[in-house]
Amino acid sequence: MKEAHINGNAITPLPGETILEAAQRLGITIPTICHADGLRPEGGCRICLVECEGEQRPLAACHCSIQPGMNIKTDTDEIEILRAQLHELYDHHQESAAVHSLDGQETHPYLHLNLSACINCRLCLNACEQVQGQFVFGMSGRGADKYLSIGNGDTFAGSPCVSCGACADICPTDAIINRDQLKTNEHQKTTSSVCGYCGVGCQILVEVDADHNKVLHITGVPDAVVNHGHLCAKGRFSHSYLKSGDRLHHPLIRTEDGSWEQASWDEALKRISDTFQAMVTQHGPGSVGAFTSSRSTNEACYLLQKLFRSVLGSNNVDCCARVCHSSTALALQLVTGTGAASASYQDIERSACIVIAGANPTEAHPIVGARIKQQVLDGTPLIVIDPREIELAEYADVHLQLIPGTNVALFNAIASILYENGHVDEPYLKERIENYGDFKEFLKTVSLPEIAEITGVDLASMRKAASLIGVSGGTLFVHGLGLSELEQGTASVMTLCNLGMLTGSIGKAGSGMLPLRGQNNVQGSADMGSMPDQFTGYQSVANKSVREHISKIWGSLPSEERGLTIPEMIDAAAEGSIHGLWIQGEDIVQSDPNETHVRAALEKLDFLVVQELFFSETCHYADVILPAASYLEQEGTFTNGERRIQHVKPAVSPPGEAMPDWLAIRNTAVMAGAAWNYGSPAEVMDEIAQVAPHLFGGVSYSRLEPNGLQWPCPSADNEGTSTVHEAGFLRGKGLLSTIDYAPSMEHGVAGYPYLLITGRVLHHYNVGTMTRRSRQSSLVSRDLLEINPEDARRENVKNGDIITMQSRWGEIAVPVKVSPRTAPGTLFLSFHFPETHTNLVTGPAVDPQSKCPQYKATAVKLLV
Amino acid sequence: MNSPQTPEPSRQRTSPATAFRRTHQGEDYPATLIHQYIREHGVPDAAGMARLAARTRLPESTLRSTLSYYADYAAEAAGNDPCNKICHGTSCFLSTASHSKAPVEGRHVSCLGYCHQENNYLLDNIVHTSATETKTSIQCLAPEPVTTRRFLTSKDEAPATSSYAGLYRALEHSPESVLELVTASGLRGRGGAAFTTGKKWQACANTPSDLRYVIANGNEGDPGSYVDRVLLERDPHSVIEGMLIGAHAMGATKGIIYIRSEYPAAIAIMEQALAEAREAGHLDTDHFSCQISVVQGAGSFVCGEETALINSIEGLRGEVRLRPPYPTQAGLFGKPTAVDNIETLCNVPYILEHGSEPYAAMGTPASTGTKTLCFNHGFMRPGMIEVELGTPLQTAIDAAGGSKEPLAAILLGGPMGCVMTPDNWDTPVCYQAMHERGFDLGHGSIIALPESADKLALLRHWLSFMADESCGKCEPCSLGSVRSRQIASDPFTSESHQQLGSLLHLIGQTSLCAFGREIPRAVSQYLEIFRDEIFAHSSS
Repeated sequence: MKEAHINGNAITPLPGETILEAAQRLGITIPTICHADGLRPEGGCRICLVECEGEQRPLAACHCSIQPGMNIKTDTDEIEILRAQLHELYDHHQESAAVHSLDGQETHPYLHLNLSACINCRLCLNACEQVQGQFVFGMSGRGADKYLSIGNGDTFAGSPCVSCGACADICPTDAIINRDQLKTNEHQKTTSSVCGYCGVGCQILVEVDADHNKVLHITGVPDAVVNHGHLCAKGRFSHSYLKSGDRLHHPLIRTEDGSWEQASWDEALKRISDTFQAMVTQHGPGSVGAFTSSRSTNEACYLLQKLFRSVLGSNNVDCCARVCHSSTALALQLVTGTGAASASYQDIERSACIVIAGANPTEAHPIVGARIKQQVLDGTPLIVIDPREIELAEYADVHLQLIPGTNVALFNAIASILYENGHVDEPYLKERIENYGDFKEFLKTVSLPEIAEITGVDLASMRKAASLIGVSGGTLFVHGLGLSELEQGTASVMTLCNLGMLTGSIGKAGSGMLPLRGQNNVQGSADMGSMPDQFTGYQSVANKSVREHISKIWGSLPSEERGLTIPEMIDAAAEGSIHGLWIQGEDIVQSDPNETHVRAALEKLDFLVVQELFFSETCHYADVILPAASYLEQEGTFTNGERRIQHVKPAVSPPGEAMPDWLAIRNTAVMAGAAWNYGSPAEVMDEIAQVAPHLFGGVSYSRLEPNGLQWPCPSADNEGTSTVHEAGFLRGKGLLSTIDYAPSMEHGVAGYPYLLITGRVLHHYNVGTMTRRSRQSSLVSRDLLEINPEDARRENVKNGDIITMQSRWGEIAVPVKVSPRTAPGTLFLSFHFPETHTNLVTGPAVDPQSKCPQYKATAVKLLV
Repeated sequence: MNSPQTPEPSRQRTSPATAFRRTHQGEDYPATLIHQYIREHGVPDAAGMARLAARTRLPESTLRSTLSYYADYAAEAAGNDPCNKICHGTSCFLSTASHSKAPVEGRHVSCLGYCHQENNYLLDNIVHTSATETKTSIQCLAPEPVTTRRFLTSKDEAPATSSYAGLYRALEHSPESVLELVTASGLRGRGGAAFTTGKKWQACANTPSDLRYVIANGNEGDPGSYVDRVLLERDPHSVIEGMLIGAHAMGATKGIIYIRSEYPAAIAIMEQALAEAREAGHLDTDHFSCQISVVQGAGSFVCGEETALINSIEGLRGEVRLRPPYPTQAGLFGKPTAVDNIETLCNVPYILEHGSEPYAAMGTPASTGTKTLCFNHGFMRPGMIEVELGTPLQTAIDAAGGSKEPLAAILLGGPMGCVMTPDNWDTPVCYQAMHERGFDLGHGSIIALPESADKLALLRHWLSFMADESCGKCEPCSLGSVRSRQIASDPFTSESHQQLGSLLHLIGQTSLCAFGREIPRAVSQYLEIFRDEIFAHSSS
């Protein structure tokens, strides 16, 4: 007998399936209180009891598995009576419940507590533990006297709460409420879209007050594959910047006297179009350039690079991926054949071993971080490779706390140990990889003791890490800017890929390379051709057949010569060879390294266009400022870090005359005489599919629901690609790289004893344009310089002290936070607040191949 | 239909807090670290909580909920001396002795395990009683003594060091053949659930793992029962030996003897015995090594349930876990774990020494071997009597000298056991026979219920016990027990009788574990038998 029956309906039980799940499959509702899909069964409320023939007692459907032969009834009179009695017990208990001491106290920026309404179902506690992995809540007391407790005391302050809001989302009573959800309006509408913060690409539901064009609250899309309904504090709560009083509402043009004047769109766009065209005529197409924005849509990025290439004839187009993951993209392209993740987020749950190298996912990519944490809590081995003791290091089997910028040496050592132990996938190497022979020779030159010296990592830890990777049968390598933003950035990622290839991890489900992309559409902006040497879809500007194909669509093309990267354009502007720039949604003064140099370059420009939400630091140098629409105010697509193209839809309309980027660019092109007649972003995407059919041929807006499409998706009948290189490397064969460690210009600088790392903290996002204009600022209100307690003692500084930090490139004064998370000799500073001027200190070091700046290691000294 | 089910891998994680410390298992168990901390520093304040959290690798929120759960810690936080406890177990509750109040201040605990004497209390962890005769009578009616064999002859002497002959016999055999031997003996768990020990061990051995645990369950909490306490105090080496044999059979390398804090003498003796065994080289033989340590409880009856006990060792609230996974699949720290009762383990060395056949020859086919019953002070010769399973209960009662007063019934097997009126005393002491007649042997404790006893007071006592000890994991038990106590505390009317009956039915039908299922059954049986007397008491 293979079947079971529920209320007379036959069903074949799936392995491990509960009665509740089986009933759900049959469309039979069983009432529950303490159960939620996606959480492990709690089994406390017993409301889900069902009758099972042959059993003495009813079974709890939420945790009893369904077995063949079972005959279940969910709604007999006896069951209904028991349920009613249970409800009576609840009611009776609630009537006598005392007022909770926390009620009415506002102890959380986003959550409102009304714990007298708590029925101890523990859904909040379970969501906190099983989704976010934070352990904020406890159940205190015993028996009927138990009550929900928070942290070790009774307030959120001091608890590990990260304000993800999962507890409020799941609370079945009004005990924990998302304050945003207290605001309601008669005319509400809901729009599903994609979060515009980091590169994870969570799907969101935006609830809007239609009368006032105002976002009320944001929740996660429950069955979205990326986030399964979960969101972080930024995605869920940090949206009040939309209505911030200092939003740009109208185009601004700089007048003769240097002030800005409100202008009409026609005026502004005519000024732009005329000026750029005149510059091209006078100085040639190389005198103008564009920085497309990784915050903007694929369509806007595509059109801006097309405007510069096809209308103005310049290959000087680049995106901010240059200053973050350009090394990663280049390295992956060189050794695998495509500059993107080989794996997907769903490989986290399928992984047998995870390496996190140079990334801090729980802070910078919270939803992926939470997913990794859960997987590790479930027993998957974790190796953290990072100079800082990031939160996930606490959960790691081994933490290799290397000296910043010494990744190449460390990865070579691990490769050497893998080989030495025979933990290499010989058939895979033979069949799929080239250069294995040379690589084996190269390994003979690797000296482990020397590398221990260089990296500061002891041999035993290296061996432990190598052994965990070696026996895993495939490892998921999650990596971030800690590898990319280095002089040896490309080399770091290439040598990490060595480990992926030696162990046969790339091209297999549950393993492979998973770089965490920083911004919502940093993958997309590069995909769209915001690369000075590549057209849309990573097609070389010099390739004849590519040019032939694209010219049929675009008409006119730029030269075959590659254009300039962002750092090169900044240098060229400083030297006077670039005259005009269009900067889309990027505050390069605050975010790019060596701030003094950036300001000088912008100062030198003849003409600068900035497309922005707010009057940023960069706007001070602009000649025309175009008011932009935020991700909640426009249509388009974002491509997340796992190559997933998802549909972004406007929930509210932009303020004043602010306009979506793609439309402003289209109108500029039309102003310049181009026959661009795209009626919608969907039409732009149709053209993108034509231009780069090998990656996007099957992508169309009609196919993007519910979970988008992961490229490569070459045809309309292709489902997209979760694991790239499955049938063989796109490059043909994977390439093992024999690269030696080389110290950067910031290593071993006499008189500068510390290496500074810059990066993000959880509650803010990059230059803070959005998060600083929200209640996130009540959580973190300034950048702090993290220093190891040992160093703090020696420098005689304590928490809050202002200290002057000097590099060879500049100096700043910053408040100090003493933290054991930073190793002795390293410092960490975020760059979220413009007044910090973090990038006055960072220097000119760049990766020679990718031109990615070295944010992750700058030699500094502290002046007390 | 009640077959164990293999859970999906993703559901193997039994407790997130366990997982939190996945990679940080120190030598000391979290429960021990918590206990040590509180002994040194008292119940922690906020700063102390952070230190203790770091030491135990538990989230602070979890630690806080743990501390608030256990009676000992809650009492200490309220300023009570943890070493002073007054027995409020059913046997002491039914005491008719003249001075029925302990001459000390202290908090009431549900039982101190000295039911053969009256009015027991702990002062500075030393037991005191109002009884003048404190010697425990120990008899054996079985053809061969098994659990009582090592102290029948040398009672009141210091615990003898066992020869560990059973262990060395076991080590001569493969783990598989030891498993077969124990299974063939028919030994079943003596703690109440009566699960076949060999099958449990087999299941634990079958779960692939790098680490397995064997746990001796010394959280004997049934008021009326004290056999485990006596075994722990007077034959500790049999407990250790039984565990080591199990460890060999299952491939377990770590062992824990969990002893309730109400048994301070047993804790001290067991620590001493472990040191002796270590000294004598029994714990680390050439063939295998199993590290055994004592973990002490902190005041929770439900921790006698194996999954709650495991939670307790992990430094968590003593709440039961959902099963499956069973502890043999995913127990302590998620590793396969066998939890065995103390008396059960004391049978094992005998089986190894003498073989399964002589053991199985005793008792009935379904209930082999012997069982040691505990008689309370209501009998003429209160004490322990080891009987061959299948022996009529009356025979044992006679051996206990009969009751001091005319009895209305005996309470067999503690609060989760049953009520037996004299007309049923011919029932054999045998799992099957008892079951067939609607009774339950439980842990084999026998409390005399005199005809003169206040039946309403006992009802209230029983329901209070349930409300106080309900762990809080499931709502019918936690909310229902409090509601039941409330109903019974009011004058008892036919309406409240009906209400209580229906509530007990609800709790019994819907609760998660045996505590919530069995107490209502036993109380309902009691209500049925003594309904008229209860009404009479209430109206008088």
